[in-house]
Amino acid sequence: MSAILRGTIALFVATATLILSGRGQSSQPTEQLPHLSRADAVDKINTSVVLIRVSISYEASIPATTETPSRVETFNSTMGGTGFIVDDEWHIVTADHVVNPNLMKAEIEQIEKGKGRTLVTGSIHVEQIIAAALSPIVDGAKNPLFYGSPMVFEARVLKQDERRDIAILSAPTIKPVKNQYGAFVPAMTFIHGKAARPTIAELQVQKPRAGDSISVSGFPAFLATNGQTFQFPELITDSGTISNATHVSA
Amino acid sequence: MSQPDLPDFYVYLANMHVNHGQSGGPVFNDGDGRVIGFVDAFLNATEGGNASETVIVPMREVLRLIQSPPQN
Repeated sequence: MSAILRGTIALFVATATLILSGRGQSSQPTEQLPHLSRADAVDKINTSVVLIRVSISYEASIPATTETPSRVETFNSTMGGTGFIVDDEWHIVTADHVVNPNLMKAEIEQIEKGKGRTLVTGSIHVEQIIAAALSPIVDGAKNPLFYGSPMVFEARVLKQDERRDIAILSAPTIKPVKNQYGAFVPAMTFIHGKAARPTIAELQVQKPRAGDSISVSGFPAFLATNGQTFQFPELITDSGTISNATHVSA
Repeated sequence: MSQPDLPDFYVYLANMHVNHGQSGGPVFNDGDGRVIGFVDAFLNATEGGNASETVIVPMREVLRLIQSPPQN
């Protein structure tokens, strides 16, 4: 998420009154929903959250040494992020910098620089986007017991807004993909003979208020002790509060 | 310089821990589980500060893109 560090967002402009005058309409009903505990809310949303893995290739130049001339080689890497399902056509919302080569450039440049190599401009290509939805195992009371048996499918970018850092993915053909061991992962999980599907997130267009309690679910990445970054394969929820609902970005 | 075709847009800021890999993760109300936006970035405090703010892209901006004409 180092694109996340893009400093361009850091504009603390106090012009909130311009923004939130109630324009825009919710695409969903705005009726009062039953109040949930935080744990209930987490259960409700986590079945719509997907892990996103992006396989990329790029070229980097390697400087000459006393033994070898300078050369350009192709490298492969994997980037990761989180998304969530917003409709029954399996459209997935995520941040554009998770899937957009233009927005990965700074991070990969930094990585390559650390290895003494130079990224070749314009050489980053997205080879494949894989999304893994964690199908819920449901008990008789319809409560998610645990999240396992990931449903893995290939996705593509349907729409993107680079400036606002939004990407909409679609999974036009839900088909099995190979895991890192070369084995096919089932694209559909069956529980008691019935196909289990992820759920669709309920959305809220109305702005929250400063002080509202919120949470985020996702698949964080961490630095291992050897300096390698790896994505934690488990869904984690963190909580906090809205501190400003009217910050103007540029 | 302002760009008339690309007006400024607003984001939410939150006092909440996020890590690499959580980009795109849904941010939701604790009280009803509805998604208000997704994690986009975090802003580190400048020298002298001791906190960071998480930047959330509002669902309004997301739905605007979803409802826009198809892209090539």
